[in-house]
Amino acid sequence: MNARDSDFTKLIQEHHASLRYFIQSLGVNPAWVDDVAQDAFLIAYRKWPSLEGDLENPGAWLRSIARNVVQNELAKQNRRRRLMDENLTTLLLQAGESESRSSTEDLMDRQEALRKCISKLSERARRILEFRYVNDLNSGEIGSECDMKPAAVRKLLFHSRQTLANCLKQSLSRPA
Amino acid sequence: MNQEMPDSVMEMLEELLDGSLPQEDRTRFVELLHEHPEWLEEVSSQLAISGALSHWAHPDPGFVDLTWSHVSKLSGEDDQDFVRQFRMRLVKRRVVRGLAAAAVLGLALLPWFWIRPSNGANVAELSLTDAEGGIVSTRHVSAGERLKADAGLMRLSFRNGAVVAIEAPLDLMIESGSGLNLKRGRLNAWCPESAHGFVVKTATAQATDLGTSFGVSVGDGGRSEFVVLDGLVEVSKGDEKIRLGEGAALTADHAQGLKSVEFDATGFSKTWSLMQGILSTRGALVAAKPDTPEKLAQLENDQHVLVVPEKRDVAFDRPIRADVIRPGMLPGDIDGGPHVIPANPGKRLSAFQLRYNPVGTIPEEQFLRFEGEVTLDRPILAIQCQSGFLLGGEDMFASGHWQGDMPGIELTQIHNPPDNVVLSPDRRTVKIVFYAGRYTDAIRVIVEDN
Repeated sequence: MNARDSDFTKLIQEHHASLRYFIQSLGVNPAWVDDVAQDAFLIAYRKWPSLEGDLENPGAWLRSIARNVVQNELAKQNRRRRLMDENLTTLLLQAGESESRSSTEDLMDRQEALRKCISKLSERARRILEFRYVNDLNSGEIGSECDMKPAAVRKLLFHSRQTLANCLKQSLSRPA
Repeated sequence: MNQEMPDSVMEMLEELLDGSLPQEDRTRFVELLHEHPEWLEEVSSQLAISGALSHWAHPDPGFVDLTWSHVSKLSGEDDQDFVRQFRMRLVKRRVVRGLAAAAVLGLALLPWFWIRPSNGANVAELSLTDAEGGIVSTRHVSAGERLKADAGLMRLSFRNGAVVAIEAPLDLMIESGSGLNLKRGRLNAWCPESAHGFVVKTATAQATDLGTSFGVSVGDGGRSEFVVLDGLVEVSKGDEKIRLGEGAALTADHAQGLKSVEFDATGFSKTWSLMQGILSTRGALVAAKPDTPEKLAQLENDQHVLVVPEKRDVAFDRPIRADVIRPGMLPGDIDGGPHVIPANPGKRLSAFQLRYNPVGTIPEEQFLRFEGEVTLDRPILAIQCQSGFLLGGEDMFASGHWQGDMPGIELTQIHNPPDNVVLSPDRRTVKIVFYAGRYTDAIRVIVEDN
């Protein structure tokens, strides 16, 4: 592997997680997130020779490429199925263009921070997250396991993710 | 005016994330976001955190290697390659339209050797296929029995419901009614709930099914490859255990531990088709290449009508509306219904889509003609041809999210003869003629599992 390819592999290594979360935040169907990320990295690789050395924020550059890939999904009749809902993605893309909010996605390549934030959740919330994400159960199935109504499970999942997002933001704002 | 996101919207988001939000609610959800753009940041954050939690729950250390492999493989192609390939395929299609000669699944049946016949209990039924894909013989096999062959394709139907299709050259031992040891060969296994825990051992690792469909291959050097097409499999080697989700693959060899590799199930095409119950295809109809349900639902192909397996082992607990429920031709000697088959809770059903889903579009006056047939291993109960019936069967049989139009087939056309469908007298073969090119043409073939 030459130096250029080695540098690009390092770029993938450092940014793939945050890029994939960013892509999912645009409403891409989870089953297609990795494919869209790979398409974005392929485009990035083709542009890489002309940009090498000039990139101040590679994460933002990759996100702008991914945003264009997702935008193109909207234009292709046969590929809209890569999206959870094309109208939702349209709204999320538009919202992203008009806001300069701090990107949650930037924080989430910090797996260690995520683990710490999960450990701060209540035992019940951790259990629900485990059922949902480790065991791939839906809210009805989790409700049966935990003797909860599905609506209560959905609410707890929502608030748990909200708590995690706030915790991750705080962890970034604290000096390392 | 800023407004807190109400519980009902939170619930809709949650259902969207677990894939259970109905289309009409999804439309309402998007309308609400349109009215309340202040909620978009929260929705975006929830989607991103959900992705992070999935990654936390199922880490995939091989992603960097796989992505680099993808990038380095494709970076040499220019953007126009795809367009050129598409044009070439259309030209070729016009030349070879009509029935092509070759069968897809045909493999010459060469001698099989049963080594160490066992007196153990019968645990499975063994079916051998011939070069045309027909089942030429069946017999029972017992625990402790060893099977070897130099060429050919066979299927084991276990009493617990597991179905395993194996391609020779092979050497395997039936260990029990819920597992086998594959010393050499390539197999696909499908395990219904009654067969979860089914084990395939190799010399370097073992796979335990946690539901429902996976492939294993063992080469001459003992190197094993595991691919998961649907559900979840636990692969273990010594103390090392990895839960492998659909669309993932790994290898194991004597020298090193389990190693993630790029998911590529195309090598399992023959065994996967046989495992699904596709005995043979002819002409423009070909079996889809093995993939995850989500990706099968989105497959595009300009040259062929694909036979795409949908859900299997579905409870027949509600009536089915269909165009074709007995042998004959539609349109022709069958009236198009609607026919309603009442629910029969003792029966289990499976479905296949026969679907032409082009990458590009062609004007109607230049539509292409696709003629072909498929033979299945189980009797066909019904065929849904028109849009309303197809959509009516989506909840019951669709295994992936289909968000495009589903127009069925056209029984009247302005510039072309009508599409037509023929069900054979033995109810095992469907022949189709589609005139297509612009939108998706599809029918659903529903078969009886028991």
